[in-house]
Amino acid sequence: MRRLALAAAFLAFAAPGFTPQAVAQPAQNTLRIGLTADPDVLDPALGRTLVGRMVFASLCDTLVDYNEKLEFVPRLAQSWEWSNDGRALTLRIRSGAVFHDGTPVDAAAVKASLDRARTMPQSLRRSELAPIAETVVVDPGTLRLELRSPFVPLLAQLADRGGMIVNAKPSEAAGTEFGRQPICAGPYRFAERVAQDRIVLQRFDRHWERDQYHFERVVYLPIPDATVRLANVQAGSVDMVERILPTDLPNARRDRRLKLADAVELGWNSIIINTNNGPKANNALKDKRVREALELSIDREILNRAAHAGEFVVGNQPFAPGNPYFASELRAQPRNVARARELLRAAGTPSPAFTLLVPNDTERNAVAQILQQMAREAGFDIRLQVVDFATSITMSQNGDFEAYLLSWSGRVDPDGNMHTFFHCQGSQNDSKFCDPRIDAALDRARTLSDVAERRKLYAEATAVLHDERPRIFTYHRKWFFAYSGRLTDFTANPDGMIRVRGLRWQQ
Amino acid sequence: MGRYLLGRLALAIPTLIVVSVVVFVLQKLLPGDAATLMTADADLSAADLARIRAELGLDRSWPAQYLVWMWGVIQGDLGTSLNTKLPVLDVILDKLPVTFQLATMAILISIGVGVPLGVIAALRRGSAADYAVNFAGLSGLSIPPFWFGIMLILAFSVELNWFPASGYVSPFEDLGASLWTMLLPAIVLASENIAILMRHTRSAMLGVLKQDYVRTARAKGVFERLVVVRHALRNALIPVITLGAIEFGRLLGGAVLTEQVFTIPGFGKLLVDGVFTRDYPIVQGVVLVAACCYIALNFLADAAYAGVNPRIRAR
Amino acid sequence: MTGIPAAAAVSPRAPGALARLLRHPGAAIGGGIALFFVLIAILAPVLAPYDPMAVDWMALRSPPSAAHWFGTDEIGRDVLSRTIWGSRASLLAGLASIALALAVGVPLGLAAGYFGGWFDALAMRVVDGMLAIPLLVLAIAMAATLGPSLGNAMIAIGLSVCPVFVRLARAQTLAAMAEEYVEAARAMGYSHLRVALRHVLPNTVPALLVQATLGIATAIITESSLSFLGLGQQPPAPSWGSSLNTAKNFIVQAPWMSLWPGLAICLAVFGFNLLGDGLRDTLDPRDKD
Repeated sequence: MRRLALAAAFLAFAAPGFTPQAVAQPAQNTLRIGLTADPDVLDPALGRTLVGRMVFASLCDTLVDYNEKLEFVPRLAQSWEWSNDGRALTLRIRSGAVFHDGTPVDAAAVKASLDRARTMPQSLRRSELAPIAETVVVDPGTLRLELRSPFVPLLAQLADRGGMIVNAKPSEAAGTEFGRQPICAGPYRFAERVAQDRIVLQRFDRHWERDQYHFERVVYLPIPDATVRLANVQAGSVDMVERILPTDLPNARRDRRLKLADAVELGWNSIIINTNNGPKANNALKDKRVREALELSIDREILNRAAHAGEFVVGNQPFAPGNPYFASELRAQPRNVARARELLRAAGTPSPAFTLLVPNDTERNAVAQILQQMAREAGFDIRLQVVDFATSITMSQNGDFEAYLLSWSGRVDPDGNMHTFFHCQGSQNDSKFCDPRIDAALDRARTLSDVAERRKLYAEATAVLHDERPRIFTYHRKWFFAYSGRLTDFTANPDGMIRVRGLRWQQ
Repeated sequence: MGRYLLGRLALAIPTLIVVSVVVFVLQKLLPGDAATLMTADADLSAADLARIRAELGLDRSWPAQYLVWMWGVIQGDLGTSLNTKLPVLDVILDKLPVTFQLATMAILISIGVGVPLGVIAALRRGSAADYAVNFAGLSGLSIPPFWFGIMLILAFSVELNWFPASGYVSPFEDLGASLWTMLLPAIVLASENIAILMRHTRSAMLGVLKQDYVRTARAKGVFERLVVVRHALRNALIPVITLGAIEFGRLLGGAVLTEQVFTIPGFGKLLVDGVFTRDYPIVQGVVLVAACCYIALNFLADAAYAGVNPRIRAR
Repeated sequence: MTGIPAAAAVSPRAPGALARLLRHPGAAIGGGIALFFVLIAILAPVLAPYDPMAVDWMALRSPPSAAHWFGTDEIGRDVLSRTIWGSRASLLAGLASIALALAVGVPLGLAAGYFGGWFDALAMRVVDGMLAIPLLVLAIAMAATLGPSLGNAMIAIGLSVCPVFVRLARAQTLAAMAEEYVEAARAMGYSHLRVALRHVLPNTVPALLVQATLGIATAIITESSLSFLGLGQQPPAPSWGSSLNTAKNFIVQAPWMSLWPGLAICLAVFGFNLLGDGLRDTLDPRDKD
């Protein structure tokens, strides 16, 4: 019967002048990007989502940026210089940069923008920019940031939403409504937004790097289902999509109309264990040996193969292999069920039971079930508690969990991957695990700019984590992008952002 | 008559209050709020969090929050999305055409397929055709819409490449493409209503066919098809149209999973995302508007019915 | 007059009704299908060739074979076994949620219809309000609030479909109240409870039975929808809806993962719908041709 309806419908739509192919015709000067979700508010001070950052990458220029090797490169700040004591960062502002409303971006404007992000009551950037004590306009082209104490990770904050410069003068009036008509200084300006449908950006012709941006318009389209997202880029109804599922890769690779790009993420995925947060810290995993047994029961390679088609990267620390801060000397222990059983017997709990809190998505659902099965072979009895994401973080913060599957998208500075999670005072340290050795290493690493020295400190902190196991790192995701074969090559950045700079249709 | 309708209208207000209270309380019972979600991606101290909650008005008591929202609604202000800071009314007005188009296409397909099939089944009562139509209708009722949607995407978008897998094209940009993109989801939505309309058409037709004047016309040898069209169908259609209106009202708010599967940016998607991101003003606003549509269409259906059938008024 | 049989209105029809039901082809087939799934659910431990939770790292998403008739899923579990065991979650959800809806809805509807007045007005406003919220939206909000689990999904579904039963029970009660023997019973001075339970309630049974059977079909679909959104049966326990939720990511690479649970839902729901239809034809005098 439905087939009948379908046939009738075909007849109805086979009217002259319309063919289904018309759907797939791309507009020549528009780049259409499929995102995993609808971004939240388009205000860098208030934004909280990763997909929001995707849009900001075209809409709002930062003071500095970093390339795919994670080296800092100039953006609105043409150059920068640390004072000898590390307590002042002097930024030279690019001349010729203007906001989308034509106002010049000078030191005073940058100061106003940073001050807005530092003081606005609803701002999510206040903690990130808290090390700044004072913003001083030296001259129209120079701004000095005076810090409370040396804080090297500041540069990375200035390369993220904290350093996105908005025209703060009109935003004072607009307040939190600024995001409805954001005025930044990026290569594209805000044109239109239809909630959950599209965000349209129009090229900003007065951008200082106008000749590097070849599309007149960039349109961001939320397409939540990963398989549907891929189908859309295959059908040509979008030109590029982010986050293809590893299991969809064979299909994408076969498709000769597509090009693929990937990068290992900056972040990590882990099982966090409640060791010290409220009554639930008194769980089966409170004995360090039990936690070791848990890790020994896990085969990261098989987990990767079963849950991610072997396409992700196994991991045992806050940094992925290849990251400048990865400590290759800290090796993961291979799976050893016999040793795990031995440890459990020694701890007097041959079959410990605990509940694993799992945020509800397909990937983590699969991971949790595989972990459950692996651990069972060593004697663990894991109950899975799957809840929606907002519930899971509420429970985690309240200490209402025994173990929790937690992922972090990662930050370019190593501090952003560790301090808030592992420092005794860290705001996202939900297991409330506290160790002075970790605190000392993390605090000291904030004051140093030498990569080798910092790497050593982070390795020290990681070594403590390996010994105490308040959390077990499992793997690092890869960002997979698929895009039209007619586009020039795109280089994926470990932060997963799509930078439109230089992209164009092949001639 | 007028008093009856006025009475019905007056009852809509307590109904809407019940709707908004139920939805509000359910949301408030969910763990966490919009501010909690912010901590997932930003380094926020407890003081930051408390300040943000206060700014968003989330630190007030539930009744206070509800009354603030209600007071806004009375003044025509549905509030601001906590997540995107967009005015809720604007967001809903953006979505309304999408949902309206989808529901319209679905109901037209349901009527276009369901009514003729119901007529056939009634005319050939007890025949193989009757059973076949009944079977097909029941199948339509029995297929979970999300699974049916996935299967259609697999067959017609992935394998045959006839349709875009998802998305939405505004009819004002490209009418043909817009209708085409919405066709699969409209069929999925229609599958359930086809069955409902078909069965009602069938029983209404059977009722009318038993009436004396139709029997007389048939006995007089008036050309069968003429009888069906001129007498029987016209009378049988009244309850069917009424039902269609009610189903249409239901479709306006109920296409959650179909929208999810086809990634259509309509009410359903907005609602589900709103629930999971704890965006209370969005959820409250959408449910209120959907409930208004539902009540309005029910009301229209009743009014039309009451106009035809005076016995209803007496009840 | 104590001799008025409890089921005065229905009993003369009852024996005939059963016979008619069995002769009704739709009802017989529908009942057969429903029975088939009930048996599968009960006999799952015997019928399933594998432990539905047993994973096989070496056989991830392997197509149907002699060893795995329906293939295996994303972590190497037997799809046939999971489909068989999944019938438990679906049937349980269907039956339990409708039982809850009846348990809450019928007394409310009965009371509203029997006593009328302010209680009736209030109950009807609440019912109207809940009916104005789309069923799935209400169920999603409730399931999310209660926390995802099969039990909570059943409660959410039961409460969400409850208004339909309140309304139906009330309408049937009003109809029964107009019957002479009910008026007679009231005139005899029997207690409200006795009149409501022994004289009014039996009259509402046929219509409620039809609605409940059709409601089971709706509840099975709603449970699978909630599981599809991750709000129903929790991993690793099998359910058709949650299998589909995972399977949708492998629709091209492993179509068998979505095919079987989907077909199972269709068939089970079809069975209950057919049975409900048959019941309506044989029990509901209004619809008789």
